[in-house]
Amino acid sequence: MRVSIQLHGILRDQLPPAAKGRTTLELPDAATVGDVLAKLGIERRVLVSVNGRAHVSSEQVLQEGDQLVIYTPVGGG
Amino acid sequence: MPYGYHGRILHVDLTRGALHIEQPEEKFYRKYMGGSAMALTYLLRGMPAGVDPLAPENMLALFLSVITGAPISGQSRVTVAAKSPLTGCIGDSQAGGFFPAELKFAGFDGIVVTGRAPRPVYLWLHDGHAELRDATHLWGRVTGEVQAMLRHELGDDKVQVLQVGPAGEKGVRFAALINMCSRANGRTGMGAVMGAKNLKAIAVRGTQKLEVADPAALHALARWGAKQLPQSDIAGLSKYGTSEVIGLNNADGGLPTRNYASGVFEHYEALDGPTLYETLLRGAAQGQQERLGRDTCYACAVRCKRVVEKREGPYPLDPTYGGPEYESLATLGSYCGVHDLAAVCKANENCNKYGLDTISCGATIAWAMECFENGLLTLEDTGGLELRFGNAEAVVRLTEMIGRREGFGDLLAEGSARAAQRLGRGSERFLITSKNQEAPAHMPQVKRTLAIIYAANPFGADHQSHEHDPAYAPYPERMAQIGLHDPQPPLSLNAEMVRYALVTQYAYSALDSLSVCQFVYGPAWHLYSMNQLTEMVRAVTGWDVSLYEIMKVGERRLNMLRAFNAREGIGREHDTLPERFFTRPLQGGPSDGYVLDREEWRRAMDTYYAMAGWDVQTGIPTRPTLEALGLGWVADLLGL
Repeated sequence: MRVSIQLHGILRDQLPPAAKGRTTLELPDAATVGDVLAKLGIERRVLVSVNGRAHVSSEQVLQEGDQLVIYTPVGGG
Repeated sequence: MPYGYHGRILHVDLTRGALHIEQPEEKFYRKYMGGSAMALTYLLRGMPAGVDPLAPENMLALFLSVITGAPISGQSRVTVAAKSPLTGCIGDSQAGGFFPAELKFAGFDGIVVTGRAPRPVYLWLHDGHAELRDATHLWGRVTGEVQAMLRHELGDDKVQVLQVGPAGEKGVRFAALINMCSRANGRTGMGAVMGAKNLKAIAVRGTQKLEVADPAALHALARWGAKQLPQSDIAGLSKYGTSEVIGLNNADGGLPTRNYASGVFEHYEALDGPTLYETLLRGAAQGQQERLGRDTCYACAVRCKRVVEKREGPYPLDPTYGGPEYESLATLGSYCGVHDLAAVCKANENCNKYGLDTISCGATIAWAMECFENGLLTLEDTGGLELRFGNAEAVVRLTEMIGRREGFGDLLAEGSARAAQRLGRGSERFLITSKNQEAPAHMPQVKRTLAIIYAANPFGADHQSHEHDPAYAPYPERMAQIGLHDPQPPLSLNAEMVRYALVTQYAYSALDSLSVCQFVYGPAWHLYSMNQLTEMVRAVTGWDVSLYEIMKVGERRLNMLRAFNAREGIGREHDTLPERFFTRPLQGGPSDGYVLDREEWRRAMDTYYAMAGWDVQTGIPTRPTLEALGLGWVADLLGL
């Protein structure tokens, strides 16, 4: 299955600058949010929303076409 | 000399032109440590209730702390406190830069200013000496000019200048104090207080060496921080500045858009940190922004400050005035529906040039825009400005007009709450204020404990007075240091989240007493944990200090702020939120439909006062609570 990913802030640096933090990933069935983080090489503490539902856990199982937004839990500024 | 501080506080009576130095004993420093905890001891003892904030009787207190100027990241900050002309409550605001450390090196731990000078003056502090000098030639000038003139006049480019701009001179109620032309004690109108005293600037230069008790331990902590930074959770703040929070908050549905109608902005990417980094940061065109476009505070490895530059186009940008923080991008940008990044940077520049708080400025303009969109303001009122959401040119123009109190800007210079009162026409229903202060760009509908803090905070709605909800779950080890072990699901406002709000409020209040940066030190994603902060204070001062003791300083400060308000007759009935937070669901994105539940919020507020040891009906600290903090003298002042 394929899922779309959008990374924010410093996480964008995981991808080439031209990608502007956006990519799609091909994943095996029953892949989880944690699998996505591993595949992208993200070891930081992050927050993940799937299809607009905020703060899902890394055990969350994904579906074809899911849209993930991944960002850091920094607050303030 | 003690370690970390001088034991010297300067008192300035502007009416008589008299200066004297007080030398408090060590236990005063240990009990209050600095910042507004220390400032409040002077404001509470030295001022009666009911003073007009712009009258000579208001006191203005500027305080460093026992660790300011030590060679480690995140310590060079200054607190300013006085009665606020915006809220009528206690005013309190912090800023970084090189000014705070330089003030320490000049030989002073704090300054208490009273009275009003018969004509404009500035205060010149250097190597233990203090003098008042004529500032007639500086009056009316913008911050960049004044800084250059003072450095020239004093013959030293390393002189640091904290000043009021034309906005402070003209009594704009949300006028800021500006240092380095780019760092603001922005909130609660402290610039208007200093301007009303005819005190244009404080110039400092010092070469006094700061004695540290355990240099090796401090050096080890500083090295650990610098090494850890790239892997830390503030790596993004370091590279992209706070502007990266535009994307983070938008992802959460928490980026205030068009006066808090929505938590998502369709053009957020135009304002986001990476866009700023790649386009307008100084040196970006040559790929040199790491070297030219990032700025820092004294001894700080994080370098989160932005410097923007643009030579062509309708909005040329002068790097003298730095660059925008997240709050400025959001309030002058999405809050107003504006996505022209250069225009937002120009509006930010104008705020630094005239000395305005960007948050209240942007939010007040957004309020006026909603009034205009709904026909409550007309072109006749605005002097021909088409004040529709998204009108970037109008935002830029209004920052100048407010700074000069010119035309329609004169009304907005009062802040949105007073402007609504004057305008009438039902315009108060569009206000996003608590205690007359405009809400910052973090949304209580999305991060629910902000609904407690925005309402209850003694100096009005504030986003830097506790830890935000999403940080509870990801940082169990650090939260455990301050006794928090039980994160709750998103959008909870139950007793545990009230406890989280209050305990992290004590922690942030301690940070503001130690006058340290809330990105570098804190209970969650920060570079250093609260335990490491404690180690740092031990290394600098030589005191055998504990985190318990530091947290108690934070609690002490919060109770003194609250007590100041109580004496002014301000209590629970003033702890309110904008009505529309309860009545108008957000539109679009992940937070679509989010609205606060009034009964749930009331229950949470009851729990908050009870946990704080304050009277649940009045919100006023009780005598036992004050005495438990060693503040019996405050209970006496309140007649409890």
